[in-house]
Amino acid sequence: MTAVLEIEALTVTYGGVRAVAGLDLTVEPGEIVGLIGPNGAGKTSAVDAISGFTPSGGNVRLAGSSLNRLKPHQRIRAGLARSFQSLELFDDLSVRDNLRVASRRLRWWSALVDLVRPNRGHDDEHVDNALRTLGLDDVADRLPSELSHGVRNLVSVARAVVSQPKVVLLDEPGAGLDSDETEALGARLRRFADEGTAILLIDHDMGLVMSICDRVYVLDFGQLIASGPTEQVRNDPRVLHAYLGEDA
Amino acid sequence: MTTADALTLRNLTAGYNGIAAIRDVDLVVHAGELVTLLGPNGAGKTTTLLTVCGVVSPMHGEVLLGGQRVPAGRPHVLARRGLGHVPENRGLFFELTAAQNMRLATKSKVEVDRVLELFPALPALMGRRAGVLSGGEQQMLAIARALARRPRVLMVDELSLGLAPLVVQSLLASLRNAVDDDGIAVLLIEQHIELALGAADRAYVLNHGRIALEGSAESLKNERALIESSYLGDLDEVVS
Amino acid sequence: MTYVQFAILGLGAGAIYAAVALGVLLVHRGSGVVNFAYGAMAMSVVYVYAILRSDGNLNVPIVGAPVMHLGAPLGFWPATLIALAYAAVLGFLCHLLMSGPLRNATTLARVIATVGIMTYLQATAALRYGTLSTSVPAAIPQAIIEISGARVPRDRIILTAVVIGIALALAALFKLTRVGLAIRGAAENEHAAAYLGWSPVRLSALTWVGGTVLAGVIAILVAPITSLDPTIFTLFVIPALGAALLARFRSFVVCVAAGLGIGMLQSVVTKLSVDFGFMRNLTGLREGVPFIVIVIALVAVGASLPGRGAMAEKRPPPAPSTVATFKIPAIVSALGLVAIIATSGGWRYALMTSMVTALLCLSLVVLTGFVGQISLAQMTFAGMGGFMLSKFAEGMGIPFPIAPLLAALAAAAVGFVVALPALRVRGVHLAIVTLALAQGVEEFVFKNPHFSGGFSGTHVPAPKLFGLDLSVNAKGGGFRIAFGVMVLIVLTLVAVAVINLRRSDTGRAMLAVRANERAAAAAGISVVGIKITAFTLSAFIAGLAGTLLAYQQSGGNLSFESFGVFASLALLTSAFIGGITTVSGGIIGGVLASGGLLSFAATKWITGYSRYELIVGGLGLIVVAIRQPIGVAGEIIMNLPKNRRARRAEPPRRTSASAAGARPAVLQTPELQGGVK
Ligand SMILES: Nc1ncnc2c1ncn2[C@@H]1O[C@H](COP(=O)(O)OP(=O)(O)OP(=O)(O)O)[C@@H](O)[C@H]1O
Ligand SMILES: Nc1ncnc2c1ncn2[C@@H]1O[C@H](COP(=O)(O)OP(=O)(O)OP(=O)(O)O)[C@@H](O)[C@H]1O
Ligand SMILES: [Mg+2]
Ligand SMILES: [Mg+2]
Repeated sequence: MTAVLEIEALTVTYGGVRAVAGLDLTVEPGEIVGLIGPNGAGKTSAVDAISGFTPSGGNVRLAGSSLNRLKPHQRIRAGLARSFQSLELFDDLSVRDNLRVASRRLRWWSALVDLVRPNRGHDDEHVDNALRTLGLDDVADRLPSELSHGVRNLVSVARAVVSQPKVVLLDEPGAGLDSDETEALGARLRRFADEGTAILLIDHDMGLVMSICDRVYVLDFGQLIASGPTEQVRNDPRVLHAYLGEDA
Repeated sequence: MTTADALTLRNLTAGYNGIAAIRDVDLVVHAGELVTLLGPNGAGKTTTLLTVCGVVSPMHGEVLLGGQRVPAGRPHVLARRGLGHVPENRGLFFELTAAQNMRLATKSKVEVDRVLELFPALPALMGRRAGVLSGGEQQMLAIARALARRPRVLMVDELSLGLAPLVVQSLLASLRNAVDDDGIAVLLIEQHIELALGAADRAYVLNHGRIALEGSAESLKNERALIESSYLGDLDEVVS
Repeated sequence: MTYVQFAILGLGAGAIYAAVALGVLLVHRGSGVVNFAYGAMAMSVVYVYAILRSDGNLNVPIVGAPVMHLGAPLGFWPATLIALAYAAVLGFLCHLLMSGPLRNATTLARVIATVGIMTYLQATAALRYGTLSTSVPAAIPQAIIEISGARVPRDRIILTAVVIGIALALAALFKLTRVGLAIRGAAENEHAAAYLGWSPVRLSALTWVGGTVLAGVIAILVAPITSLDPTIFTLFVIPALGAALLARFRSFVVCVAAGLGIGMLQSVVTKLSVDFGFMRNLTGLREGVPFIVIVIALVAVGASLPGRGAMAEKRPPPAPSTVATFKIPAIVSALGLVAIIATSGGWRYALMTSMVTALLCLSLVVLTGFVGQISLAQMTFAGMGGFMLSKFAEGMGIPFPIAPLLAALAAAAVGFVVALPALRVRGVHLAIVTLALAQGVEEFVFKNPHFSGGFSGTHVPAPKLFGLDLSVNAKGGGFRIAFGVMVLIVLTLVAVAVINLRRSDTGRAMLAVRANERAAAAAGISVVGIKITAFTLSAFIAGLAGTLLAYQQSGGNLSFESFGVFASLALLTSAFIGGITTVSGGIIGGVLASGGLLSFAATKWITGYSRYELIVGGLGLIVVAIRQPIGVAGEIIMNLPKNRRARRAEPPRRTSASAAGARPAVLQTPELQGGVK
């Protein structure tokens, strides 16, 4: 199978800080790929660069076509989706509306038609699905600010997957989840992948990463220090030294 | 009550808009003790800490810091009495640099240097705006900032949030040292049950706003099944 | 004289702008609020000072407070000390307001509260001190000195030096001292400051008292140069805001440099327009040019999406989705129709004014309520509609329903242009950019006699449709029902459209942009597209209202004076009081607005009300800002029976994740979800 997301020589610099230095990475459809590494290694910067939120060098290709010149929202419309490490939910929209916003595609004329005919023939099937799959039915009508951190985390994952993307970039979706939730999240991500979505997963929960990822990339100081099948990376001495701890 | 009770919650009920999120919580942290507060998402852990530091006002019950009742709604008074709090959202000043964030915690350069030794990654970042730090770097800065005040009671909401495994291990070890050497009291919210129990003296499990289980870390380590069932919330327990 | 000499002359005005800008920046640092009342506060301190010096009376701007006679006129120092003590009290009162009732209020509510303070202080000053301008004894030597050939009064130079000194001191305070850092920190995150042992209340008191005393000092130094009247400084606030904005509300030093620069630039432009004949016709050049510079500079450095860790705005006011049926709009329009027929004379005119203003408020509901873009250019859009109507109808003879629609489209085009800076500037900064643009359009376009007829105004022909006369003035005196009905129809159509918008995908996308631009982009929304849509639509509505205003005003004579920046500010406050996030709020805003039904009724029934109207209005603003972030409409919506019930009901509790997944379904029993029975 050919990769749906191809990253070539991705570079991100902030002023004098080189956060990502020449990252090569691919993700295939139906695959969950882990991106791990110490704090400040450049993982979030890589996601920001792929999704267009920060200027970067190198090439990003989605399903064969280049995203380099596209703005963030155009990349999203092209079939990319992402979550934020800092969640960044819409605080004054209900959980359901948070998802609805992400599931609809506006055209330039939408606003004009909406003045006359709002709610024309939309169904919320994807929204309902995402809510159900992530177990958010009960909180669908509440505001994110009234939810506990763990639940907010799930909302941000739901918002990322609701648009039926080809590739999802998830930035620490497991942070702050309890062990049951983490396990459940793993199973759900696996299901999304089995349906054909490609997932790039960043997380510091090694239990989660090691159990669901097909392959893992390890970043340190912006550079790859290891990559390959999960089992192999887990025992790589450089990874143990830089990230996991020798006795892990 | 002994003076060794650094932090006591008695019968504490609190919540939002008149609806209780935690009910009748009794909890004690002694000086020189590391206590962890476990519980599933939405159990009320954060609410408990926010009530202790006076951001959420109690509907019922009381909080004692060093044996004294604490006034509601005045977190800065508590801070001056020796309470340190790393909130769930980390509470950094994004517009200020990391160094300026530290300076607001303490006048003393010595203290700053002391805590920075615990976080080898931080010194190189001190000139950056806190807002641009990576998630884990922010978490380190928030914990360092709280430690620099040498609190007598330290509460950390989700210690390992966003931190790499190596950092969590060394951080737990340093907290353990601070507890053993300086006799501070630490109340820790943590989702990694094994890690938390490995470092803690005692643990409480909160579920549906109530304490479902408590005991020494040693005994709970061997009772994973018990913890898991308390996470799921025993039907009897909740309905009664 | 050479250009250099003119530039040096400009230092005088520049120093004043810089001084006021410093004060505004100081308060912003400590409270996150752009204090529109800053000029008015300075003005009131200077009045206290001036009256102490001239009569020895202590006369504070509180309605009904006794005037204290302190004996003979006081000298410089005692008068200054007493005036600054008054400034400290005034600052402390503002602090009590901001860190008490307004502590958790939205940024917009706090800004609006400062507008309330401004209105109150100005109105009270007019009542107690009169509106005539008086002179203030000089505080610093005024002898003329010569610098490279330019004869400059010495006080300008001293003032410049003082201002630079203050800026350096403030910069040092906020960079180097812990208290300064704490003030900045607490403005960003009050709780976090408290967790570190800082008292947010004390920090706030410190800033407000410090900021107001600084305002007093500056005013006492400046007023002798400018002479004193109740609106002094309001004139300086606009260029001062520009200077603060150029400093991005961050650097005191840049702020002073910008203030001085603007003053010098204005002076040079004056010289230019003397030297080059063709520029003489551009009357607004002096006032207008600096703003163009500001806008260009800002847009050049802005980013189209906020970066990581950008400071988030405090939560905007909630925008409840409005009624799903059209019952309520239908009832309200029917009531409106009855009211038009039942009223006559002044009442009918006030009703029409209310309806047109409601339309203007709706333009703000779309832009500020839904998308969170604070605009102080709404009356500019309206003015564009009005004047273009005159051009189309009078100048080109385009017939009735087409001419006003074309005029509204022209206004929409201006809205599109104003949207461009909004793509890169946000929040309160944007408010100031729109203000600058509004000022620019006013100076260059509206005041241009070729375009607007200058002070004599411009004429708009009466609207006629199929031989039906829709003009406002009836033949035998009084006002025509037909005109009222036309306004009502337009208002109803627009209201329904805005209700639709709120319930649609576009509406939700707008709220998403308001909440978080980064996340909105990540949801596939074109933030740029939404902002442009909102600005254009809003300007179209405002332009439409402008054409109605043109038809209504004195039977078709339109003057630029109704479309200034302060009219826009007044409109924003009306919309805010009514409720800026809902359509009903817009309608209520129209009823409450000056010249509308409520103020007409009050003037009629309460003797002497007109004298106190502004004071009541100012206090009313503060009260609404405190009580209800979504205005009077919010108050009503929250108290609807169904919402009362909803608030009391217990929200559902989320059960463990596994309940929804593989684990036993037993856990979803109602007992558990509702918590303990
Ligand atoms: N705007 C910026 N200016 C300067 N440095 C920045 C900026 N943004 C990020 N950095 C730095 O770049 C480095 C990489 O940050 P990034 O967020 O990508 O790390 P990360 O791998 O996601 O870490 P974590 O696991 O802690 O989330 C960090 O050291 C961070 O401080
Ligand atoms: N501001 C709020 N308004 C209303 N309800 C709230 C608010 N904050 C929290 N809650 C509710 O209170 C309950 C307890 O939340 P809390 O944040 O204390 O949970 P937690 O144990 O910290 O969970 P997590 O592990 O996910 O952080 C939850 O049901 C949550 O929905
Ligand atoms: Mg990260
Ligand atoms: Mg929590």
